Amino acid sequence: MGEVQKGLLSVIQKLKGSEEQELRIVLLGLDNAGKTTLLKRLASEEVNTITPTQGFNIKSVHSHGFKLNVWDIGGQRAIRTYWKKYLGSTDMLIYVIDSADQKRFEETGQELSELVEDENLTSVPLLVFANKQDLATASSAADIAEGLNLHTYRDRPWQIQACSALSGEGVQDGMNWICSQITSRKK
Amino acid sequence: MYSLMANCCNWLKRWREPIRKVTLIMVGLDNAGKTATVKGIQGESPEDVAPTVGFSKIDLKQGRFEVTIFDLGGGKRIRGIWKNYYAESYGIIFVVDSSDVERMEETKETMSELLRHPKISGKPVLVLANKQDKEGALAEADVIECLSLEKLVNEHKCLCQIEPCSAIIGYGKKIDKSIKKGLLWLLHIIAKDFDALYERIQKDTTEQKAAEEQEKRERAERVRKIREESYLCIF
Amino acid sequence: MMGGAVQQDAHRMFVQVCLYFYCKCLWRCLKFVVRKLTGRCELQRICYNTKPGAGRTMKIETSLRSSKNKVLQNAVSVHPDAIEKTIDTIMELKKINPDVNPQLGVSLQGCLLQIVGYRNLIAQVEKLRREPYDSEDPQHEEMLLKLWKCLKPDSPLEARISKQWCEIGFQGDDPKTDFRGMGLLGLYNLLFFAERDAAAAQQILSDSLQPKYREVSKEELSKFTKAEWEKKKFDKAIGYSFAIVGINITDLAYNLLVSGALKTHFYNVAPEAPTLSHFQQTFCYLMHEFHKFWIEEDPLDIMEFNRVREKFHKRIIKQLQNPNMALCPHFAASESLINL
Repeated sequence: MGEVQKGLLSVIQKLKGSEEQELRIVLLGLDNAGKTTLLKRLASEEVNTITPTQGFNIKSVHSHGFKLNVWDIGGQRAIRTYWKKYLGSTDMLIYVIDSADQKRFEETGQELSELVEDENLTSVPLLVFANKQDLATASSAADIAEGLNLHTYRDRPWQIQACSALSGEGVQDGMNWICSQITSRKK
Repeated sequence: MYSLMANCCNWLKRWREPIRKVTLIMVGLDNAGKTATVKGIQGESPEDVAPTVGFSKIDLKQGRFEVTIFDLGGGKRIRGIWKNYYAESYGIIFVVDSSDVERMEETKETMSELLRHPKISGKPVLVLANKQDKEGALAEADVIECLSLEKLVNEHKCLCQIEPCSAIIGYGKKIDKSIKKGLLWLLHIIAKDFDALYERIQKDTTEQKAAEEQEKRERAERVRKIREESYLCIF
Repeated sequence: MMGGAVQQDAHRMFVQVCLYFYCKCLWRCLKFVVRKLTGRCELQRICYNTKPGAGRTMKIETSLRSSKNKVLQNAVSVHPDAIEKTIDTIMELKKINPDVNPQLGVSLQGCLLQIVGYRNLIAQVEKLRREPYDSEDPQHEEMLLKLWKCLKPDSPLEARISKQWCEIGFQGDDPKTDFRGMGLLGLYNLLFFAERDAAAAQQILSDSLQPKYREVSKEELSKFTKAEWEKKKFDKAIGYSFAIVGINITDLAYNLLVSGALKTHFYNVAPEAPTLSHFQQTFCYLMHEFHKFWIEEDPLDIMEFNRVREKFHKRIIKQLQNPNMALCPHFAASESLINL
């Protein structure tokens, strides 16, 4: 019966016909920020069996007429040294922060500021997800923006989005901003 | 003949003028229409705009000016970032949703806070009374009254002009003429007092940059220590 | 042009649907004929023709599941205590005389125990997985601290929240954030491995921590002789995080269990109902094998982890497709198992 279903799907796809524009999005942040949960949310997959990422995950997401290839790279300290290898041809940077992990705000701010200095990310729009807003101890998105000194990034558009990848709240708003950026850049 | 000469003179005068780089900030409450206005100026359709909780900018050329406009999020919580851009701005574009009468008080307070900031006082302000296309939109005079605009700008010595407009009726060449008019006015005022403004901005931005650099260095140092402690775990 | 391709696909789909219904009907007719010919029902034939183990149990399971009869269909999900009665009912239904076929009842019971046991094991494992690690629970804390002791017996843990946890492959200074979707199951498996097979676990841990001289620059390369470099190349230090890989392997084992792929292994290795212990032993085996596989694959760096893991996963699935397969019958940590 699986064969039948696959056949049906390809019929529908052919009827749709059109070519989608492909874009590369990189999802970064410290370990335990919620990157993989966010990735699975974007791909409308279940988020209950996630394990810590060793290496990276890729998923393709269709949104607003684009095909977004999203690269979720592990945030463990040892893996951060590999981040810059994945920055080539990036159209958008999504940086995820655990809003309740105040102890590491400075560390994540430093990682982000080092990232944006990479020449592959010149002028690349930045979306910061202030994740885990469902937790009582979470700092607000505005406080995080202040703490991260996002105002010092003047060479690219940036947006901070409060969200909870677990519940899904705020995730679509972030995606809407991404797509509005992409549509204006591609014109 | 005379008009031809006058035109030649103007053209010569303009040609001899240096190119001036000017930064403006576009502020206002959330949903006032800032991003729509900016997109319209840029020549893009202002449809489907997502709420800005952050920063973006556009660059445009107007006469001898190379203008950069910072579009800043207006939500209550993100408004805190505005002050970081005051030092480098030559002028302010304050966008008001003229149809949102209930929030005029909040607009007034926000504007008051903005104008009294030492890095803003004295700089020219263009107020765009936006959303004139909507039913119930306040007219120019009413907006001025609701915001006590005259009192505010006099108190803080900011030259001010108000233009009723609608950011969505057209974009690019078809943009609402009032917006264009307002922008030209703003640049004209800046040009008149350019040297003084330039000095002031140089001083303020140098100070701000130095403080930012210092903070950056200190943070980098603190994080470097944290990284060293966990060297064992790195492979 | 596009219309032609659409037509072709639609036609193919139609043919597949027809084929499916045709096969289903044909198969039922075939069963009827064979029963009349051999005088035995399908269940009898299976027990008669297939030796005990996964081959037999899986065929019995398929036969019961696709039966028209409700009693047979539901037999796969009865409570373990009701198995005997269910077998009696089935024998009656199929008009099989237990005196003439004494072995059949026993065989069927054995199969059903395994089938039902596998289902229950899935439920048990799922329950553990859903239970999040709770640092307020003294039992959980005890297990975590025991894990440290088993893996690092000579190195005392300085504090509950400490960077030392990185030494056994957790990401940060509090392991509770690493269990995530695998919950307590992740910790159970790691601890089982570290306790029952301490030598192997400690060896793998030590292999996974790369010493500094792994990074060899071009200048240094020229200093070594060929022999020395060959030796360094096969140095077992390999660069991955032990605990996190363990949690990922738990995920792999969990997937194999839930998808039914482990049926082959369990039905061959567990003479009665498969238990959590069997599952944990399988985990130990997978850790061992993955470690060997990782070294064989010799990936450039940790970034290849998911690719290698997927390859490993496919290899195990392929192995499990052989009905005679038992992944780890003679495995050190499975010494207490009785082999068929």
